[in-house]
Amino acid sequence: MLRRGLLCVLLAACSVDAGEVEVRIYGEEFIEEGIPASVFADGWSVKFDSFLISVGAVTVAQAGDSPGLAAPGFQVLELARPSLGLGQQIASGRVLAGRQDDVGFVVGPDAAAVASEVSAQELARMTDGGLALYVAGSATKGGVTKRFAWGFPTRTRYSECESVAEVAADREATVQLTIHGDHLFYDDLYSETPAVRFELVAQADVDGDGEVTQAELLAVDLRPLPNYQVGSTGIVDLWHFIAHQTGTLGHIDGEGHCRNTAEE
Amino acid sequence: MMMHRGMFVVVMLGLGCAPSQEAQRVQLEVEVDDATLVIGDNDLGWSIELGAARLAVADLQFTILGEMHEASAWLPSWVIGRAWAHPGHLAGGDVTGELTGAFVLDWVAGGGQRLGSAEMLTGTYHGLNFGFRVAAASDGLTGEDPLLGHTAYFAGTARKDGREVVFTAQVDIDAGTQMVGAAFDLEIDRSEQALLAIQFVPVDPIEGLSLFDGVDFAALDPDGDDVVAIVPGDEAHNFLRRTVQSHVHYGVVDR
Repeated sequence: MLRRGLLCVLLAACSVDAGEVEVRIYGEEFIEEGIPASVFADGWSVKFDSFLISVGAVTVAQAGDSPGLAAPGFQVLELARPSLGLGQQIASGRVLAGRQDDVGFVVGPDAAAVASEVSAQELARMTDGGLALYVAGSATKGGVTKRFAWGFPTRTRYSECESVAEVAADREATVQLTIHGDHLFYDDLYSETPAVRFELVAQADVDGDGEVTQAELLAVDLRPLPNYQVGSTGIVDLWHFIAHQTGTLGHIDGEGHCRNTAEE
Repeated sequence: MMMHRGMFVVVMLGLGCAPSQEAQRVQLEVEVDDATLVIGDNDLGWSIELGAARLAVADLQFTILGEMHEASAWLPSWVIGRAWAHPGHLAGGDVTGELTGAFVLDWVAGGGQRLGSAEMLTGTYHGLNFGFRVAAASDGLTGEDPLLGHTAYFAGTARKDGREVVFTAQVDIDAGTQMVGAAFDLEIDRSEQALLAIQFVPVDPIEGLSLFDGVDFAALDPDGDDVVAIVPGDEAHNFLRRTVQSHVHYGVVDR
């Protein structure tokens, strides 16, 4: 607050153009409504019942400048909650007019994260569990349904996100942190053209109880497979493959790119 | 919602620092390491001795870890960029040295072969990256060369419990796929005279990971003639295709 106040004073004193920027996070239709079978290469479809995310360390800047907006605190949000295409607000503030083309944020666990329209139980799941993401839902193909509920403690810093938000003087613009849920089911870590598949995940349900667990994904050996390539990562099982993909979900303003860096 | 991956981002470093802070540019010769390849066991107990180990690669990149600090922030315009750190391991870094071009690294017959002069900035280096590619006739390969049309070719002998299997393996990797983060620990200063040798490490000495982990040579030899040919499409090829991409099997040493 002090920083923002100081910025406002400086902006007023210098008589420079400034406007409002709002930062929202959005899981798109794939997370709010589901990923249809047409997206999958193997005929499955996925519906998320829950897609909890812990996000913070948000910064909005113009490239080459220090951030005009900084919201360091972490929040837990439910991205599966319908938002009518608007997503959910996580920060706002007054910034210098211009294109806000250097946005950053972190998706990672934070014990001090606060709830943003999630229940105390959901908040505790993330903070006490040390989770960055919690995804639960089901996949369906024909008459077969497989359930999943996975929590990921991964921590990914998204930086240099090239937002197209243009703040005009005394106007408001929106920066959207876009989360791509379909990436969880990509069948290659580095291919430019990965397919979206669920069949291997479904096959992991070796006890046939209809729920694919972390232990079952850990037991899937990727090495004999022609797809599910892992580059130099050394990943050999499906659980770590999907966990790795959690570090690629973040984008900006839809399809815009960020630098994504795993943090230990 | 597809993302473009494997791309590089130009590092925009601060401008306006004093000339005295300029990182120095040096040129260092690079060659294929000529050390004898280590005989090692895979995870299924096969002891593997290689008689051929060839790999088609492009554009060697040498990296320092993390971002350049402010004291060395003024850099010449040729500074290339930053390799994407793979989420899951911290093998990325700023690319501050490179040797561009297409190469066939032959660690048996071609040990000691000079590849060229790398352009490097002074600094503490930690990693090597390169891209995989498909070997072509333009590499000087004849039509009968087993590497032609493939990315890697290995040949050798696998031994276990008194049995000896002679094998060849052709490996295909998508062109443009990157090997990121092979070991390269060297402080390079202005007066550096290092000769950089690109190593092939069939068995990772730290974790004991073999290039041939998962390959059961007996299972590949149903006719029992003790001769095996691993080719694209085989399950054994899928194992090899992964391990060939792993950074643990490469390195750079100062010769």
